[in-house]
Amino acid sequence: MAPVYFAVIPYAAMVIAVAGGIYRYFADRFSYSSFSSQLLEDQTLFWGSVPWHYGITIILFAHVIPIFAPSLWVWLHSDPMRMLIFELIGSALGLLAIFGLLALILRRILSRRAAAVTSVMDWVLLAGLLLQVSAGAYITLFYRWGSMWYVYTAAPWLRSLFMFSPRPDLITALPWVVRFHALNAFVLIGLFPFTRLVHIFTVPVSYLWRPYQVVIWNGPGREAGAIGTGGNGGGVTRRGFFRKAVIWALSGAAGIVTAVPALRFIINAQPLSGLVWSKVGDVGPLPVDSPVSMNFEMRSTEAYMHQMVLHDVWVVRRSAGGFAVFSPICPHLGCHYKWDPEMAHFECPCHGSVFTIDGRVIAGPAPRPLDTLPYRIENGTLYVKWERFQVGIPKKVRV
Amino acid sequence: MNIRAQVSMVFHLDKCIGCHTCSVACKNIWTSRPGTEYMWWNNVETKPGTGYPALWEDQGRYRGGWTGGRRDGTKAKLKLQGRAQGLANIFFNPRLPAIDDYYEPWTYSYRHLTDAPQADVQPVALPVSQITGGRMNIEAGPNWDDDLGGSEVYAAADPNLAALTDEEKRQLFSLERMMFFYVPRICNHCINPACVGACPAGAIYKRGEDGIVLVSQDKCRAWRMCISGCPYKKVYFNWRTGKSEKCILCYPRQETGQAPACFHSCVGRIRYLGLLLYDADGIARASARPARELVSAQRGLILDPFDPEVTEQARRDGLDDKAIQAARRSPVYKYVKEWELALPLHPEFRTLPMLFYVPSLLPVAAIVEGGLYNTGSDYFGGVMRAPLKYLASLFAAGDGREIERINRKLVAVRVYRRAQSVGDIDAKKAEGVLEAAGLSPQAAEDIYRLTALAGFEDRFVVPPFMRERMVEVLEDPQRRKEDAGAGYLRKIRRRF
Repeated sequence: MAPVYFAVIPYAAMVIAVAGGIYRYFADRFSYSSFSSQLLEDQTLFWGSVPWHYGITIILFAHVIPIFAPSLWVWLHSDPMRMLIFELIGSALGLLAIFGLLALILRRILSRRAAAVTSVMDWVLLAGLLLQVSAGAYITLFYRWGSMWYVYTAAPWLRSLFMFSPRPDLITALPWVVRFHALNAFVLIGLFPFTRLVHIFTVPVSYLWRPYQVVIWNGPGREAGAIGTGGNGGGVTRRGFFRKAVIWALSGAAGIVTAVPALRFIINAQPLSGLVWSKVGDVGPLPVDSPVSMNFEMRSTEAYMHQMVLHDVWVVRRSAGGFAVFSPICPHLGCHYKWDPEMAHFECPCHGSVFTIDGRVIAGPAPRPLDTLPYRIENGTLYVKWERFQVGIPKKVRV
Repeated sequence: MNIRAQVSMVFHLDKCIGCHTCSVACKNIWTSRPGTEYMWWNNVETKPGTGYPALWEDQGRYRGGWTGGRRDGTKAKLKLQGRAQGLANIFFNPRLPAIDDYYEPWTYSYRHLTDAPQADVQPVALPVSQITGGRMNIEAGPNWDDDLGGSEVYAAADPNLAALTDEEKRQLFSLERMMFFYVPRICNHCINPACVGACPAGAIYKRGEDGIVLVSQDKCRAWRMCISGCPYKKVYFNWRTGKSEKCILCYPRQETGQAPACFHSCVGRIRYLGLLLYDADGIARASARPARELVSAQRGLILDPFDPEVTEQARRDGLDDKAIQAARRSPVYKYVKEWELALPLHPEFRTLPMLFYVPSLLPVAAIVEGGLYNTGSDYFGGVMRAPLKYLASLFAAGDGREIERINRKLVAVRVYRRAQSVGDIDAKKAEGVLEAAGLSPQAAEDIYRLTALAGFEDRFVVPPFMRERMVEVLEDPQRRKEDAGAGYLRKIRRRF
């Protein structure tokens, strides 16, 4: 039952956020902003708002990039030193955000003026955000290295949500803090239309190029524009009715677009699309007993999406004859492990799991040997069936 | 040429008695709502003084207005920040005045007077903050330095005094030489408004027909850059609705044929409201002139409504015939362009403000000689009560000659009128004085009439607004004034 939460709650949250957000924009545009209290309290605000916004914005982007560009992310983190630097920057930004958030919370408690303009929903939101960043910080500290395993665990889950073929099983094996972090994120998204969070979509980017002066003509003299204050009185005019109809149609459409796949998932979970043989490359030049990372393109069909995905595998030509093909994902928490030619073993940079050339675990927290993939060789060319397995459990279970 | 019309105002400072009736009229109509208690869209300041909000003229602190940029205005920049910097600063506006720079609005616990339990002493009504609802000490108010109150602290800090030497400052605050006058201030409805330029959301706009600058309450996203951008600090933040609000030049009243509330209630009848035609194509160039040329450059933008070429172009640019008629009868045009008697407030902020002030002559009785004002060359040498440099810093970007010219004219009109009504001055001599000031007897007569005798119809000349031809004609703009201000037609309730 539990996995269903990781499909139902995200979609429910998205439906609420999209439909509610659109409705609020059209029905109550007046309130579509953050509710600044800088006039009333501007001392602590600086130490809260600035670190919070810069920290959390960059961290949010770091969460989104691996969803849509996993290969880029893996490449960025392929060098351990680079990965450490990214981890360090991320942790610093996280600390910045927590510091800022605490300042923001404190000022609403300590400043009577700021408290006077604080609503119940502000407190709900602040509490939700505090839980979220605390969980994030805990994960960063105690489940290293998140920037690596995220790409192979939670990011594919999020990606499956965006592809409308949800795969809650991808995330259920992760520690409870991670699962809480993931669910709470969607709770926050669900809060979006009921809080000041709507201001995220009011970032005035057009200020960079709009002309400085704005002139609006109301009368018939020149190009007549809308009066800008808009709105409708009490009675239903034809214009007012049209307006309402458009609002409802738009929010309804948005709701349906996001709700249908969710319903489809609940009623009838989609089976995995069939595995295909992918051409990896020529095995002729492969050295003996020295693993080589090989890249290949996999064409896959998921739901209505046809796509090409870049994957890589470790290929070993055995001295005893034959080959071994390993999935590049560490069975512990899904990091990209590496071959260490000097020590002649595989090592995962995240938590130090060490494997022999045959994939057996020598050291570290890995619960099972490296995952082998089915392969065949035709005319000296290697073909592999790409598969993924659940991480963190002793059994090799296909996901 | 691209001709636009501007509803514009002249304040005759010699007539202002500092009674604050305008401020109160405005407050009762527009800013009596929660969140707006501290706002005074119209306020009257004593000069010298620090004003409201405190030290608003100090742009080193608030960075309002525009930098000069290139001569043609192409590189005009906000003093506040560049565009990218504006986005980088949206999380915290470093130049925003805080509520204490205005004052914390308060009321009194009047209920306590009747509800207090029996005691040996009389109950008193204590001040209560209108923001927190808690008890407070009143440490500032909207006219804290009225009539030079606390002048050693407040008036002495006036940024305009920087133009004076220490000796001049010392004299200014000695009892015998002390002077002050009042400056009523509302939004200047500038033709190069910095608040519009600073608004990241593009929510502030200038109305094409009348030049009134308004904040669209639906588009305002509370970035608060307009408040910093406006060098006059005439945009305010409603802390209850989270929106910027400002003087709307009473457009709902004007559209129904009434004068703005501040205008209508003015006891001294110091205000004149009328239309000006100006060339919008020249804005960038005029606002980029060197500081001392700004006043004449702005005057150059204002067009002669009697010039057939101008009226022809005005019609092509969509101005109504009635608007052109009104521009011809405009008292503001006479003061600003024809007689060159009225000057903009702080033209060096480069927003081309469209409210004008006839600088105060202040009482000059002390230098009457033989029943005649001494208007000789020595008159302006140092006998004048208000230092030229001080007035020049307020109204002419430091150019004392502008003030001197105007003062000569004002004195000349007085001399001319005295010759006519009292007759103790030789008419020939009076006309000589007029000529020296560059005025014809007819002009002097007109100035006298419009200054001293003008009735309501002469002071208030605006065209019909043709509300019936505008969008949203059937909605009464005053309907929701209790919620979010004029023009907002929907019930407002900000819950989150």
